[in-house]
Amino acid sequence: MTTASGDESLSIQQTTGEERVRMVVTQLSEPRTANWIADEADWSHEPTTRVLTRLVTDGVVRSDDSGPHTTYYPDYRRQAIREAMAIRDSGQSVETVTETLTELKARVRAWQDEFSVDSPTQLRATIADDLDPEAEQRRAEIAREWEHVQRRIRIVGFALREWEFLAPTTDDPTATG
Amino acid sequence: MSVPHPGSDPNARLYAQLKRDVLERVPQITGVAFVPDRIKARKLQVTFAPDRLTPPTGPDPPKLDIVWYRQTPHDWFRVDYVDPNTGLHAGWHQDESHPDLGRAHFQYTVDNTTTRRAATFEHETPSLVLWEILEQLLSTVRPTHQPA
Repeated sequence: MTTASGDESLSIQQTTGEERVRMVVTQLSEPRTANWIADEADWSHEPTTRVLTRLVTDGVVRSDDSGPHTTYYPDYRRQAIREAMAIRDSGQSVETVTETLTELKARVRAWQDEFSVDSPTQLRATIADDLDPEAEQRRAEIAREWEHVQRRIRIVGFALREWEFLAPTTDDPTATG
Repeated sequence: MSVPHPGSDPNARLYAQLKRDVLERVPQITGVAFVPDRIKARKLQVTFAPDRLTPPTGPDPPKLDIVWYRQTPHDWFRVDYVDPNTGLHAGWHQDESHPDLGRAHFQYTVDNTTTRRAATFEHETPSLVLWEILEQLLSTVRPTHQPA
């Protein structure tokens, strides 16, 4: 892909190699080697390894040396906790966030009642039943959204349970990861 | 697919990552909002500055909507650009709607006519895929389909 300002892709123009390594390694869906990560980040091996080592030290990424090559995988717990912190820092009152949680749970109950199922997985299983394509599509869309709502319920619930613990300080340090 | 344990779920921080890694770095973008709000975070809505685009548009700002779910074996996403001034709609969809076109397809609508073709990406990292989409939108799709 080329752009008006040369052969470099937009991502290479607007980001550094270090930033791309961080993007890649914090969004992996399976453990990957430094070579794979460098290739995906369009950066060279040696500086990629240096950045990965630092991210491991910082706790953003975990490494596994048990195989023939070291592999890296993000600590997704850290991302979930940071998302709970972002909800805590969003400026909403505890009452508003509690109302939102109630609303999200009510949506799940409405889907459970409408389709007589307990979970998105069970809803997907009903798609095989004799349904017209429009009904099939609607159920697939709802199953996807249901999963999203369930994920938000877990994170919002965590933020609410730990509301005082997660209270921001006035000199909030710059977070990473 | 069941909902994974939060400690192994790549979705928790995805929209914040796309915002930070990509959208806040694009000079033509003036706003990125979580819709309907930061807590529910159903999708991201991006606002472009009409006069910073090439060719420019206006007076209303074009929007880009992003719905993205991390899942295996492949993510599900819909990224849709709409210019209310010209009616141009361009979408990059990795959904199940057009399996004949492969895993992902690109579609655009001009003058109420929709054209679709297969879409492929060089990367599999969501932030880098979104960079590819924005590059196609800004460098190719808009200049080609936007009346000058």
